[in-house]
Amino acid sequence: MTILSPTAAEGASRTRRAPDVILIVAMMALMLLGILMVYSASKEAQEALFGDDSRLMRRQIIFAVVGVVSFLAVSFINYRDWQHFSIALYVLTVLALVAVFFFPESRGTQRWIPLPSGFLLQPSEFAKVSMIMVMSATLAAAPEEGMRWRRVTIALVALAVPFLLVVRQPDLGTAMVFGFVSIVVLFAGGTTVRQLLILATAAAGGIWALFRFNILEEYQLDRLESFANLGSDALGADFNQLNSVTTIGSGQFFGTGLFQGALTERSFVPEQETDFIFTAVGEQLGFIGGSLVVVAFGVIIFRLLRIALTSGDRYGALLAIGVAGLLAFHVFINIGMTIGIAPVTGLPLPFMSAGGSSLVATSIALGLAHSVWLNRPLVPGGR
Amino acid sequence: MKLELRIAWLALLFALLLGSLMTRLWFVQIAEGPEFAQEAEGYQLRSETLRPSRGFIVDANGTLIAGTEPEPAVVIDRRFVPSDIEDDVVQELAGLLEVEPADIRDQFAAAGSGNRFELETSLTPEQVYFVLTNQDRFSSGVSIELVTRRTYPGGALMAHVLGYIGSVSPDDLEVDPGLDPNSKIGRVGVEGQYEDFLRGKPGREYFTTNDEGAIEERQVQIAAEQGNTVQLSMDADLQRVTEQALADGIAMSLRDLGGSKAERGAVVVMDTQTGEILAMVSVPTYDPTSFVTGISSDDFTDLQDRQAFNNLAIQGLYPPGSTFKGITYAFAVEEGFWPTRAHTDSPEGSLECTGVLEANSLDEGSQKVFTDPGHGIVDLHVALGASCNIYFWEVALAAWNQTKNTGDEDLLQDWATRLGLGETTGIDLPFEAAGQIPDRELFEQWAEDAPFRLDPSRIDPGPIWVGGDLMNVAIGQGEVTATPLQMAVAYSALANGGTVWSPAVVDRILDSEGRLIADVNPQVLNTIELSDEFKEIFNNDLFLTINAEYGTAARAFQSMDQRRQVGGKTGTATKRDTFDTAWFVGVAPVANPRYTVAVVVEEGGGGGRVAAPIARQIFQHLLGEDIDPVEAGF
Repeated sequence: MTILSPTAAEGASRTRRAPDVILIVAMMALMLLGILMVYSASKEAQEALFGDDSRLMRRQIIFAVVGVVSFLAVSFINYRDWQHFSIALYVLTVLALVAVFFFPESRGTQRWIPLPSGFLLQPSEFAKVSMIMVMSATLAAAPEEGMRWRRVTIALVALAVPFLLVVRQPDLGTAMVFGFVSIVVLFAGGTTVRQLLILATAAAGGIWALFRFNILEEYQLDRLESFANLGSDALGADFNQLNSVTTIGSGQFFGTGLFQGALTERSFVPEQETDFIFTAVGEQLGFIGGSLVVVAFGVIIFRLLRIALTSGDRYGALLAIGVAGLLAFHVFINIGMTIGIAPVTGLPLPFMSAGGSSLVATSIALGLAHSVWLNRPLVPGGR
Repeated sequence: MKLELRIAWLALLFALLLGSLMTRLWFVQIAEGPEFAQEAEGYQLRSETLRPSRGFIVDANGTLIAGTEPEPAVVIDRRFVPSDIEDDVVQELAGLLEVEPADIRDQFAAAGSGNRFELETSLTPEQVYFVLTNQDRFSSGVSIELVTRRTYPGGALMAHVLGYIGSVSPDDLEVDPGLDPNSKIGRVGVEGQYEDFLRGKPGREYFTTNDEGAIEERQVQIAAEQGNTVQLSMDADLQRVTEQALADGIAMSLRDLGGSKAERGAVVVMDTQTGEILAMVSVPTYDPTSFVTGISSDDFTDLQDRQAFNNLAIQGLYPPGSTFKGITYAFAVEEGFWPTRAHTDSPEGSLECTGVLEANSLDEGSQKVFTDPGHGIVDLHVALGASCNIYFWEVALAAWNQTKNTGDEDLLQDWATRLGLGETTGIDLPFEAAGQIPDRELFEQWAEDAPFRLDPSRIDPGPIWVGGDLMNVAIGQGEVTATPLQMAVAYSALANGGTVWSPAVVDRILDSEGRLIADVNPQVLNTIELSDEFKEIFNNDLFLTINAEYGTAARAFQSMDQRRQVGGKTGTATKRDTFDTAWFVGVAPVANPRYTVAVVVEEGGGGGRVAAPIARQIFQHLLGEDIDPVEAGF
């Protein structure tokens, strides 16, 4: 563990409020690269549609600024204060997820709340963060050793409501995020391996029963099927992924050069400014750029685990771990999708995909973890 | 397990996930990179939007009202029109298609550089042949393709209800960036209101092309989805009869009535019980097909000047004249306001109408004398059938004396509002007008914001709102305005026992295979408690208008065999410096009404003379009779 945990000398030599500069630099570098990539991936279409090639990029810059400001604001609030508002936060999350059903469908799902300024708010992105907070608070309230079933059940029941609301939208990607992140937080929170195995068996049994006994209506099955396929027909989804792999592969080691992506220019991959933004990186910046993006995310994720180790309490540790799990899953599923080792689901690449809800929500998540860092005890491990 | 150990396990998991990404990235970009790069080189890939076919509009019986058909069109792909010869191509096309070069240049500009679009012109077979055989005169970017075009098999039938389609504008794109900029979008009417259902879903087709841009291989095709079918509650046959009746009525007015300025008019036929619209006509009209291939700006301006694009059935605001008396009638019976001269406080309480009314208590300082034709001995029943102003003025006068300056002062206006006047009915068509029911508050607001709308003497010395104004409301004159639709809704409510409908022209939405997607039902706007006494007498008194010898529409309905099935009310809205506007609102069968018909002919003459004969033809059709020609009522 010495690789990850700061030495006592290091901990003592720094002032207590020193920010995690490496974390911040990595985050802002990804945002900046995201802005460039959004421009390269959207300029042709924006020019054709609006005669204004930087329209989407300008929106992305606004989102990035809002993201950085949110990160700083949340950093400077003591994370422990949130613990008292867990129930309020939870109710707000559920209400926001219910609210989307009062607005019209778009592309077969109901995920958005239109804001007066013309932007679309996607509450499920923020729900990911608030569910980390709620789960962490629930589990941190129990002793670390010997997690009782009662506590696990409370956490899972709390998770179930937003989970089902998201499935109803339908949004398989977000549902999968809830699943993965809750397993990570449960594990870190002290559930035994035996408990996790029993839960996994129960979940598998539940899914089997749904299909075995035809509990789902036909339209629900259709929806499940359609989310497995990115909301369009299988041919379309498959085709996107094939094209995406080709585009990234053609970048080779050095890439074709910034703003020189022949396939990106032609919108060879649909959604290349949002879910498939990594194809723009892969083509134009090659293996060098692509692997640097993965490394940058790796740096953030491991800084988050380091924060968890130094945290003064279990709530802070679980928050940082939850955010690390959130990022790791998003990065793996999103980039994995573009290079053909993960299924096509509509999960954005944090900090880079065009769109405000994901960027701001992820910035807030990172700000929470950073607050844990800023409020760590002087002596590492001192609880 | 300690937290540190758990974190270590998670670190291992995350490292594995990221490591597998790096490995795969290496494999894709380094190991297989050159192969993918070569493949990409070969991909002079081009994708084209496959435009969906617009959904059908059918009538209640499934008759096609708006469809699509494939038609040859000149399709231009600006990527393959070199910019140095673009002007030559434009000149060449303008000459061939016999249009102004500027029109074509505008379409080039609207499509944007590097885009594909179709020229908005219908082609003759000769023109198609010429383009196909003279490719060298144009360029490889100009071709003939079959595109689907909107067709309206009935021509101008239901034009105002259908609305029209137009090219997507920059404003539309601002609202919905996902729109295909080279497609068409519904502008008004059902085409506009139900755009989301009718549009369908575009598909995409991917090609590999050679250096000259010619298609080498079709890669993949994602089929476009046809728009949904919108089924109207309207009936094409009834609509045709109604359109003809109104046209004949306008022609008759111009021919037989000296001074007639009849040019505009509207008719609404609705189901009295369900609120469904069965026919809706507005004159003058236009041909929606002319928007499909483009309309010349001169033609457009001319139609606009004549207000041909306005659906007067829902947008035309007219003083309802005596048709308003149906509302005053309900007010008198339900609120118990009776003329002071009537010998009992009941519908049967009669008074002698000499044609003169002297009023002393109108807040206007001096005594005022009102005149009207005399009707002899009238009670409420006769007053409605003969349309006696004196009687209804006295009802208003009684109400004024008892309620002025109290909270109940606007009771009559409240009745009108509850019956759907003064605000939009919420029909499923855009741009519906609200009309107005004046009261003291409105006049005071005008005195504040728009004093030019009031006679100066009202402001100084005042008062602003007087008893004469309420008397004006009672007979639908002065500042009262309503649309034909609103009057149809109000009379339906009075005749059906009190249900005020927010009507609908669309009955349901089907997918392109005919499966039901959504039922569109008229909504209940308001439910009014009507007394049994009222229900017993109202429809019978509407009957008198047509069947009593003194009835104001007796002449107009004389030739109809089943006239005893019909009830109604005529109206003649008078306004200084204009010819009278003719109204008729009626229901049939009177015992249990199914149909409500409202007719307006703007500056066409008297309601009984001009509007009633038009309604009579429509009722003849509705009740299965042969139709007699329109003749002036009397």
